[in-house]
Amino acid sequence: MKLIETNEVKAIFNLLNNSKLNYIITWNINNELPSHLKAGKDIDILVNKKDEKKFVHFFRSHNYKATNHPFKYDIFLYGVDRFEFKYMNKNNQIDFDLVFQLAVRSLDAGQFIPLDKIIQESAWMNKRFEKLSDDFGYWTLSYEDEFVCLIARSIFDKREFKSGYRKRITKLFNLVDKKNTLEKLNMIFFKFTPHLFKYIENENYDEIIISYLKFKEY
Amino acid sequence: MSNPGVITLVNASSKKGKFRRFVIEDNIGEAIHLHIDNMRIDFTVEEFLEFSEMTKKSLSELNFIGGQNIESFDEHFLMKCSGYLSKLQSISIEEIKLSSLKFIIHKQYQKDLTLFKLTNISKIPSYEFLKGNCKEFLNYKQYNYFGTNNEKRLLELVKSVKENGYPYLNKHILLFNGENIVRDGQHRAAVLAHLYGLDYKIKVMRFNYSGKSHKVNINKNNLKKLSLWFAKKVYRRLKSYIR
Repeated sequence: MKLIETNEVKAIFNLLNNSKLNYIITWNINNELPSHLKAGKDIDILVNKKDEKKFVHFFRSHNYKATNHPFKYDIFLYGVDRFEFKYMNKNNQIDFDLVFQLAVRSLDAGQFIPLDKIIQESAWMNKRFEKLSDDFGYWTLSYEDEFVCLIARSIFDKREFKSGYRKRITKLFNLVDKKNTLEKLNMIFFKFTPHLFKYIENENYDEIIISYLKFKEY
Repeated sequence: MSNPGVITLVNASSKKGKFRRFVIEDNIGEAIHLHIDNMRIDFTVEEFLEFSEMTKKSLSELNFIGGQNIESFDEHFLMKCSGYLSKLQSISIEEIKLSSLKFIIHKQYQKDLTLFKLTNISKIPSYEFLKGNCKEFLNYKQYNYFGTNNEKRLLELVKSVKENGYPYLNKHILLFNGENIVRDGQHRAAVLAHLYGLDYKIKVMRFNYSGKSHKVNINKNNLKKLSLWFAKKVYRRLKSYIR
């Protein structure tokens, strides 16, 4: 599959950073940014709902067109703001998905459900700038929040731990404060949290989802 | 805190029923929730299993299925026909040819539009699967218990019928009143037809109700679904014009 020109990725991120808009790129699995981004692959960008108009203006002023989001008509629960549009640019082929909360799909009927408020607040409070080179960087989640989000995304959205996710989670495991991370995981996984942590510590990713679904100790 | 690890175990909510909301949810890691209208009861898994056993025992003592043991029926089927059970007058067991039975299947016409269809045994997806036409059945949407899928469920049933015969544990294929439409047991019928042929005679259990509320009206149901689907399309189109 065709890869997007690195310079194009750098250019749009430089514009984004210079605009002083408040955003978070939630993850960069397999180091897709800036050199391995496939054409047509969306970049999830977390923004505050109150800043939506500013982002719409930003994208429009850089030749982006809004198109209907494929999940537009899905169910959004507990205050998750519906993501109605994605922004596409035919020239650079870099597409952005504007999301307003850290959310995952429920196991039930795939409704979008927000992660706990504390995790949402932490995302903005603890965001960090990932500087990958002199001319490229982006705002992203703290190690802890990224760790928590990647696990939640693997279990609820992907329903599997993909290789890129496994590598990143394992790397992050050594970078996070265990106590804080356990507290955040507990807001999603409740009594399964210590078991989950043990699986990750042992890098036993294959067992996580099935043991979560079969968990009965509560 | 919202728990994304929620699995709806049962949803028996009904606008016409006694309870508008009757939902049991497994909130993994947290609790089992029983929602009855505005009330919520929290159980541990152990408490819920105990409660469930107690309910089953009480229902057996009530003897509300024409003298039959509650264990002879699939829980999901009992829930689906619970609205008619108060009108149950008698239950009979009779013999019928598999080829005389009719089956309700659903057919997908659009990505978001599925309609019901009445068909005979040679056209049901599970029978076609057993005859080697796998494609449709593997993706066929149906109610499965946790930890299984369409293929696994059907192949286990083939094994069970071969080993235990039919009807095993008094679990018959079920029909209502004068209709020969299978209400429970579509897979069993497919397996029996696959093993013994379409003209094989089997024992079925017939529930005889008073009134007409149990009757299937495929056309009426489809019309309702189609109207709703169409109305949604129009609404979305109008919404996008207004924006």
